Amino acid sequence: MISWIPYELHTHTVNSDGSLTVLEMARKALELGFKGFALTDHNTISGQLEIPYVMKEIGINIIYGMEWTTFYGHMVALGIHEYVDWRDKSIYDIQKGIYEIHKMGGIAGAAHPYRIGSPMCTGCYWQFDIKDWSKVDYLEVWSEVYPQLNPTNYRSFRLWTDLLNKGHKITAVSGRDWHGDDRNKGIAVTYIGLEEGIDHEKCTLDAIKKGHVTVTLGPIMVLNAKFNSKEYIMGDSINLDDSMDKIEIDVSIDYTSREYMWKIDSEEIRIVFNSNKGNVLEVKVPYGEESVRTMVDVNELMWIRAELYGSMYGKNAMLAFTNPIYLSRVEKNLL
Amino acid sequence: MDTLILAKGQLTPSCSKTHITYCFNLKKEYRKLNISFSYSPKSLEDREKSKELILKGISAFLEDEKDSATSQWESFMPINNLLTISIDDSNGIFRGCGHRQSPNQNIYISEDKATPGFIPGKIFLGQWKITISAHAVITDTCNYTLHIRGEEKDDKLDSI
Repeated sequence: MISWIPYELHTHTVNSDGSLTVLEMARKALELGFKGFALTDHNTISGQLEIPYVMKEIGINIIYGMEWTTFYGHMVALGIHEYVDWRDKSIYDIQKGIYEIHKMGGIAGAAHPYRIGSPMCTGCYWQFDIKDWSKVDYLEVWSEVYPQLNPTNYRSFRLWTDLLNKGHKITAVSGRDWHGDDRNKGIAVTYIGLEEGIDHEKCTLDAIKKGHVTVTLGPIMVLNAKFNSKEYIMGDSINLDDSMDKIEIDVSIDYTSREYMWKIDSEEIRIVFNSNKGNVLEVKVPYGEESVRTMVDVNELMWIRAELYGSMYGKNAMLAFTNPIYLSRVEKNLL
Repeated sequence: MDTLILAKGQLTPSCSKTHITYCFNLKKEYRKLNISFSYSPKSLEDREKSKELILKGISAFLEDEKDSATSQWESFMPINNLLTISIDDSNGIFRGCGHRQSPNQNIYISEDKATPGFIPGKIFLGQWKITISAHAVITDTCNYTLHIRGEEKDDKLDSI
């Protein structure tokens, strides 16, 4: 049984330019309804010394990490317990950096790739030339609070969709880039799918890498598929054969998680099934509807994800999205 | 306390996105390293020049919101120089970085404590490195002072 665990994947403490200590951040994260967060200070791992104590004291999971705050882009490294040097890497060396992060058992994600760059925000705009996107584990497509209203995030989302259309399997997450401020509205949450009872860091990183991830400003939306009596969740790949031309897709929505932290103010919500073929289905359901099920034609389908639209704080926007379920085909001539 | 390095330097915009590394040798056992680092100016005061740089950035980096950002270019003021300090010890182990905006930083590392961002531990003999990372230099010149001092094991007792 998979549980969906609320995480904040991008934070800064007094160890770089944030305002809170690791302990204070853990307390606040818990108050905001998170069960875990990643400690990703700029270019240092000094805060990691406090993690074991803080996890025990507060009862929250903390992922060891660092934000690789380079001159040419910011990259979040999760699961690194040692420093990975950025100072000896040029604009041409991003592959080397990712390699070193992987070698240490970590995963790498491009942070806020289209945020305005230097000198307004030094290195914030992604300028590295990624030659092999299969090496990038995830993209932070939603950054900061109220991410659904931020045009730079629309671009990140489009980049993600383009990469999926090119056949890449790349996970999308949210990251507040939280420096400890007190705003408690418009917070996006990355829910990570973990087998019940398993909260080891390695399992969390694997789940992110695989795309067992759903992102939301409110309700948890989970995408499932059924094919040949097997069940699949977001991030999984379905190996199709010629016997079926349709798969069953199911979205379930849980409105109870962190419900004291958000409010949808429309009576209706819209669920869109988006894919490499565009929107394959769009349904309007009343707020509170917990399930939407449909059959989808698999012809030329490479990936499919769900998006939830509605109004929050008086503005209509995308309020949640799932990672895709991928489809692959057994080549006939290889049989 | 021994002065290990007292250096002053001047950077120009050509130094944006470069590093300057000072290597220094510890020949005595110290209980603490104190690093004072400051740079000036922090912000670009020239309004026209600021506008020029901000508009250039908006044009290079933004797409959908280019027009609204252009009309609100002043919201990006002031734009700043950003220099950060990082330290590597004589074993080649990273001992921390202070990635923050303040142009006046006092950093220390000792065996059991250090300034946030830095990693406490033994002050090993041998060649240490301090790196100034110039993330942005936007003023015509930016002057920095780096003062590294070693506090000997019995320095504190002397001062009591």
